[in-house]
Amino acid sequence: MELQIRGVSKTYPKGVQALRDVTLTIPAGMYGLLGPNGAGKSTLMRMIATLQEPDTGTITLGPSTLLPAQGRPEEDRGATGSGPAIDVVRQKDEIRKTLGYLPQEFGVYPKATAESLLDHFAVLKGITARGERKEVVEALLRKTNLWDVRKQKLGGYSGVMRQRFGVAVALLGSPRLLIVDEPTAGLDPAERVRFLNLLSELGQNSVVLLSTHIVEDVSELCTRMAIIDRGEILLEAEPLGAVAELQGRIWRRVISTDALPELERTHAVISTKLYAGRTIAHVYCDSTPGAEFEPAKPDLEDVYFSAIAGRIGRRRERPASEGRS
Amino acid sequence: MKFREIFRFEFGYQARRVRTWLYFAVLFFVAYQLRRGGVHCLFTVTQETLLAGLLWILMAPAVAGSAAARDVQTRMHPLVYTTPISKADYLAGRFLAAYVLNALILLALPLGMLTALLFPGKEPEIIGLFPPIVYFGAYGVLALPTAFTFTAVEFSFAALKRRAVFSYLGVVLFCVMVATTAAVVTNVLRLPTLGTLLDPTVRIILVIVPETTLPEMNSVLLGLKSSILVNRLLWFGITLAMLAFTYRRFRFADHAVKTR
Repeated sequence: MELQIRGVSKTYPKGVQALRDVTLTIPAGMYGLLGPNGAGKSTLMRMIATLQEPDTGTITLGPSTLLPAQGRPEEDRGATGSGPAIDVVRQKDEIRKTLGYLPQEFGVYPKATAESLLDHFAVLKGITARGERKEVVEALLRKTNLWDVRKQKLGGYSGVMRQRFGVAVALLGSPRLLIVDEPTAGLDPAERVRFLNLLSELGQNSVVLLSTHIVEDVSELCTRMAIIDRGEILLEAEPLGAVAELQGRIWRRVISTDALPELERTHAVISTKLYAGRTIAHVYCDSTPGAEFEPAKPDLEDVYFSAIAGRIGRRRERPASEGRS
Repeated sequence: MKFREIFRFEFGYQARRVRTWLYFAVLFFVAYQLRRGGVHCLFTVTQETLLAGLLWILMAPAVAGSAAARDVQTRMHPLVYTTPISKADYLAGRFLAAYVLNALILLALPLGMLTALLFPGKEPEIIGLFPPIVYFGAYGVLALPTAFTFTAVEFSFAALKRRAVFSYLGVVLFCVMVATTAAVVTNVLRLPTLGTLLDPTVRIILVIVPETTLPEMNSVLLGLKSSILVNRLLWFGITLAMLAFTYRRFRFADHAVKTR
């Protein structure tokens, strides 16, 4: 099973182009969509979640095209087991039967308890048999650590507890397509780890698309990823492979903060970090940029900043200024 | 199944709110007080039902507004709209829940009036002249159909504008529009019969009732008087058209972005 996004573009009424000819193939497993705030991630996520329509392009969930049919596992031979591909834009009702969506921002009914509202959502998602529903609701409340507070009204929940409730709703009915938009923003480190563990369990049989601006979320979880900026996909890769390709191309230099403008003028600085009052600059260069630089072990953050800076990926092939025109 | 669940949850959610019972209590108290001081004739029962009904119109649009717009206002709509429910189940379940809640709130009118009769000082023979059926008749002929139309107005405005406050604004706008139309039809076009038909609160009944003799009373209240029946049918049709329009315009979409 895989999600195919082909040539999707979207321009908002005021002329802001949110997405520009986005083409992605997202196989089963955890897939990271990485980009800065305002890159168009949420727009793309809302489209896949049937809440918005693209101006052009198609989005389909169907059998995998990456592997020959015989080599695929049984559950992978169709979006719903053995069915044909589902057009996300035209067959909204169909895709909603197998969709889990955790939006970046959402609220809940303040006067409802977690248990009653999750039970309500379970019916809406088609779990109509009472016994089965009771089991599913209990399992999810336990999994999201809300069992002990299930009788409390959601209005009294903290932001993190509400987020966990959203996860429980998204996981109802074991969706084949799970869309998770910026789930770790606002979580403390312990909560974040817990949440990512929960997600990784799911990624085994479903297409899980995780949008985030936090590089670690992707490096820790995802087997494939795409980097998006200003509405266009800059790079589609496997995180480990992309990091390996940067080997020998990232250089590091510690400078004083006021020396940064000069360094940026003379070298391809992709990122800077402050450390003990000094600035650590990472520079992209195919060969050594000078004796004062030392080789840096590249990580996914270097991949991300190299793509945004146009040193690798689509922006290198086609300069950003051209892309913006 | 999903329609039933949407209805059940909405009804239960609002039935557990203090606000709902506060509306009931206010109407009960007003109906009780009006009846305590009122003269015992059909005209006053009808008048008091209408008067308290107008109070309901001004007081309770939040019931339908909340049913229609709570998902967007609490920002829970991305979770709800991505479940496999049909627009028809969703809107019908929510609307029906709001209507049944309003019908129950308005039940405070006959109950309040009947309670007033139970207190000492009322002549038993007067009570005998006004059996409970009269009060429930006024409820069935006047309150329930009017509530259907107004619940639909409130619900439609709130659902399409995605904010509960539009249920109040919608009622105000609707009343101004209807009153203006009725005035133009009556005074400018000189068609008073048509003008009275255009009043959704059937104040026309106040014109008819004083002329009604006691034997005719029941038939008036049961809506058999032709002009009342036509008025009710007319507004039933207009209300259905309004709900159909809301169904067509409503979208399971995030923000104001149009989608199916």
